[in-house]
Amino acid sequence: MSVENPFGQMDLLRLLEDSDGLISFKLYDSGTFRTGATKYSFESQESDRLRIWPMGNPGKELTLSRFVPLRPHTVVFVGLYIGDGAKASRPGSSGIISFSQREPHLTSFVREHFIQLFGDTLTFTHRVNEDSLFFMTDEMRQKLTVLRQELLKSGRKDILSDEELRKYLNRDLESVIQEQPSATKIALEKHSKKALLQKHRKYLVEFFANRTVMNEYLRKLKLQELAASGNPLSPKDRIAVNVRLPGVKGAREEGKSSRSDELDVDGLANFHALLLRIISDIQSSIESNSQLISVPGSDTPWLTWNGKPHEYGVFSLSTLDYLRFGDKCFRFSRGSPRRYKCSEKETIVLEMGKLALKVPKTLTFTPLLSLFFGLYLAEGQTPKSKIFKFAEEPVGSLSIGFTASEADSMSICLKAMKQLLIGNEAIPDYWRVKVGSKYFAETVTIGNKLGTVALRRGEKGQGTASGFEIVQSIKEWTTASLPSLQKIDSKFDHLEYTGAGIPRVDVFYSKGPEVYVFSLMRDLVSYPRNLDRFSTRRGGPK
Amino acid sequence: MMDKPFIQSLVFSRFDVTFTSSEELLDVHKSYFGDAQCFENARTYLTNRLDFLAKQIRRNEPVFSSNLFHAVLGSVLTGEPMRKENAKIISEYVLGLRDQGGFLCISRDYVNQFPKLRFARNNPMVPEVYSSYYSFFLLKMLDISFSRSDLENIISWVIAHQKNSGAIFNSIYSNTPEDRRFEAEVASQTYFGANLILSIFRDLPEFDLNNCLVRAKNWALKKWLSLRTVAGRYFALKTIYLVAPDQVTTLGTAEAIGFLEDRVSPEGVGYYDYRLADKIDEFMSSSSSTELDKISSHVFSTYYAISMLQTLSFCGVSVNVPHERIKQLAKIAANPDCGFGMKVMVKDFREPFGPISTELETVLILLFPLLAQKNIAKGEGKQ
Repeated sequence: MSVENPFGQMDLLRLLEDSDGLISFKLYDSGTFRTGATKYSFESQESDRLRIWPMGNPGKELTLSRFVPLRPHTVVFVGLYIGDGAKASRPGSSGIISFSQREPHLTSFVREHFIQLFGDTLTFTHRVNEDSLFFMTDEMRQKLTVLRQELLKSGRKDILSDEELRKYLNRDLESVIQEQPSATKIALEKHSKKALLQKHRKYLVEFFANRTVMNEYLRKLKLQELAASGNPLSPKDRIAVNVRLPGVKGAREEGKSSRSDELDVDGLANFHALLLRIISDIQSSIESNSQLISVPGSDTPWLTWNGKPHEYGVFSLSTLDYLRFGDKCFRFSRGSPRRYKCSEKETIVLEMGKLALKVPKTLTFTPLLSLFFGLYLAEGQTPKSKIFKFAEEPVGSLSIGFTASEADSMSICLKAMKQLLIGNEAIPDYWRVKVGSKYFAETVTIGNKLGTVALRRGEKGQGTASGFEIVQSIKEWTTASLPSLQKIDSKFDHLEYTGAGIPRVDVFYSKGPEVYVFSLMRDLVSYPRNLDRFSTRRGGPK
Repeated sequence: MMDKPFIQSLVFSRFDVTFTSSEELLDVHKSYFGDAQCFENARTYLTNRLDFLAKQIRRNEPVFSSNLFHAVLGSVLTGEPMRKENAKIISEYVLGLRDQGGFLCISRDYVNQFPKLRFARNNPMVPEVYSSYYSFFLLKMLDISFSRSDLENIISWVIAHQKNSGAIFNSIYSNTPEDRRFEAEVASQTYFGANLILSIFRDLPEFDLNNCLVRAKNWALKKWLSLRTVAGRYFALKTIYLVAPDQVTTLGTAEAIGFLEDRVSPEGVGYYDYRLADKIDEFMSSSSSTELDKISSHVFSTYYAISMLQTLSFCGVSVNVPHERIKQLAKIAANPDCGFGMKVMVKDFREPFGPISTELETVLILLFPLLAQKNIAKGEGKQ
């Protein structure tokens, strides 16, 4: 058996026929309902193929498979898109299909699944956004100088020579601004009152002088990252770089990165509604443990799991063999690989250092577990690069922490961890609530309603909050909003005021299971054969 | 059991109205709202809350002194006699909150629920100014008398927490510099501190506390124009009015009235505490995009706004009390639990952010008819 075997399927023709081509979606994400709808025309073709196009726009036609298998991979893709995918659409526009992630294994995985779903005619744009303050250090200036020389040698005409650069840097800012494209001038005007832009205005001339080289630096870096992950840039894809004005958004200090990467699916905006309907129905069927999903008013399901999504799976892993012999089931530390010491009793006891924890002898890859892996790879607290590197190089501390503002995501995380672990380690060590500064007004209002005060801490007023009446109120709001936390109410730790973001919950697990859990995630996404070798149906490692 | 002049003074100093008796309050409700529904609902809610809080204490479950203060005050305002055993356990519990010269906001058992975690480690329980205010006046409502040395301790503790700026707050745990603290916090704690000083000052006339009061008032005068919330301005105005009522005339009444007009809810129901445009994203040091944010008028902000209008009318400004706006608000803020309060909503989160009904807002609804019909010309504005 393989971890790539399907545990259900979608019938897209059934979805379209039962909806009369009008595909709508309603997703709850980041405290906001994302809704949208698109009317499609479609026709069934031979060999279970399906032609589909937005009504009145046959030029945007795609040919899809009518039946789409639901594999663990498909569900991981859904989890990743729920976490890091573009979901917003404004009335009158169809929204975009884009995935925000820098880790190249993950972008490659997601790219592959877009192709599986929508066909191999797709093209992609890898976007890199960075703040120009990142380049405003001596070290980065030196790197830019080296690159500038290389580009000049290669014959690039749009790069300033040393002399041209020297002259440019001596120009007055106003004359430089006058030469900029109107979009840049508008942006400068729009953000002119921002304190951070004013503070970093002194870098504007340097930014405009070096912008092209900065773009090239990031383009080269992205190419290297893709190649190093084993997924070099496809000839059909392109890279687009955007270096932002200093102090407009992101980094606040020189040398600090605020890089964000996106993978845009070109020309697929009209299929945003279809993609999000697929994603929302897969997520809700798993969360509610429903085996069959039909269009309202229809008796025939368009989405079918072959068993209950919380329990059913087609692939089971011999955990002990995987942990003992798995190719990368260890962490690289102090110059050598460190594996768990495993002992087999009723369950398997894992030890690494002083830690001991229990895991099931056989781990079934359920839709629930697969969705958790996808969500974690998007919303987990662990830097994603660490998950793909910890078996190869020292990565510093590793731990399991998950962030959610939606009830479904939190519930899936807590349930999945109970499939992965046995006993107390399956329960979070603690959880906290974070509230970004944009929602301080609402937080203070709670205090005003109660006649009490919101107290901050530290120089910037960020960190653990006091004002216990408000802490208690927000804790109660959290357990009402994310009911799965009610069972671990006593694990509440603190409220934290922070710079940005909606009110959200972080759950943290005790140290110990991270190598086991992250190995499973990594192998499912990038090295499925590492898992297939330890299928229980095969009787041990090959 | 309670000293009537004390209650009158407490209600006036905190809520800006003259309360004489629950019977009269009931009559005012009937004439203002047309029936006694709000009064009866508030009585039910506050009685239930008081019973609940007392029960919690009996079960050794920690409760907040702010909840107790407003619930006990509610029983006084509605004339609902408090059970003797409730009064006893509440006073014992609140006396147990004493710490140094002030009072904790809740028993230490609260943080002991979190024995090994950051919350407990990083949150040493320290007394705060607002919680000391609540406990001090709560105990006085319960006929607990303070010895001279108790009063001296409280006074010394409050004075010790007055900052160079004149603001009063405890920075031992909450050590954030004043300019990054929430304005409603600093303004209200300064008012609560000044009020404590002034109240105790009357019992210790030989202490020269004028300097502290003047500094608190000067802080409020200096900050006045920079305050963006109704609650922040309300408490600043109260501090000025408490110490030097005549200086209210220096505030710029046209600006203050414009400030309040900017916060009238466009739905015609009460006042907002803040404008969406004033929401700040500190991460970007700029105004936030508020497209998806929700805002609502509140009982507290409407009460505070109208009280400010009344106080400004003391300066000779002609003020029209928006009676319909108050009556509409009382209607829509009535909740199935008989309490009053509007929801705070964040984006599309289904659950209201924090409680809907609160003891304070229910007390404010009880007192609204007195505030709305207050006649400054008759001298009700003078203490």
